[in-house]
Amino acid sequence: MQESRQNRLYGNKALHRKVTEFGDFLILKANAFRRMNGSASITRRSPMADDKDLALLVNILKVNGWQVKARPYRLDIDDIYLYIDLWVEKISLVLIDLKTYHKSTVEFAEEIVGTWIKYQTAFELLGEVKSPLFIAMRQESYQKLMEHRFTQELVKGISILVYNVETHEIEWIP
Amino acid sequence: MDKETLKKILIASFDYYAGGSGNFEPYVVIDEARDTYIMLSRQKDKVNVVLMAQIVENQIRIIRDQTDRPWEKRLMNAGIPAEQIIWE
Repeated sequence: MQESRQNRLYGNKALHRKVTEFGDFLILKANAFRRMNGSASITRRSPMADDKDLALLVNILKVNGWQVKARPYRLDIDDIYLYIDLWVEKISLVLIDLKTYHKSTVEFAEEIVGTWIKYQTAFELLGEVKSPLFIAMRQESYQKLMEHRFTQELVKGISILVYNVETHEIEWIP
Repeated sequence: MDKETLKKILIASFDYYAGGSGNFEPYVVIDEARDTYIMLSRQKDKVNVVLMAQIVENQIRIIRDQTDRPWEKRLMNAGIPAEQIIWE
């Protein structure tokens, strides 16, 4: 029963022992779940546009000597769950959340400010996150922000990571 | 989209939410008899429901999404038509 069900879901017999079954339930500890899921013949989904940008950013960070410690980095604030795109390490540990420009410049700035306030509030409440946060964006997106006095002011005080998709250069603006 | 595909995409979507690292330990609960799919968080003795959905009549009914990365959007990006996702 358990074997056939798991085969149907995951197609991998070797991982059955990772699963605890209680009656009709399968309860999987996340690490086992991820391994099973990763080895399954589940139809691959087309990545989200943001996922493609994130993959590009990860590649650029690696070129610059950074290692990915977590993707994503999870936080819980009571019963609210936040996901920061990356937790990376070189000399120090840094959290990075990627923003993709796809709206108007004002909306883009608004999204950055909202994200910044959300995570800073979480850090204050938790008091245990020591890694600084940077909002990552492409160089051309950053230039769009800097073109206007209003959007410049909106993002003032926010730590930004700017990356160039052509040259793979990165600039940290604390 | 048929029920089996909905189920596979739904289960695959947990991969993102349970992945990475952080300050809670995620668990995935699959209740096939009731077509219900849940991700729980555990931190010390505190357990909460992060995500919960049920497949009913070829639709995914989202019962709970407590994250800042909308589950609905992820499911749609994975190919599930908007009309097959409803909120309870």
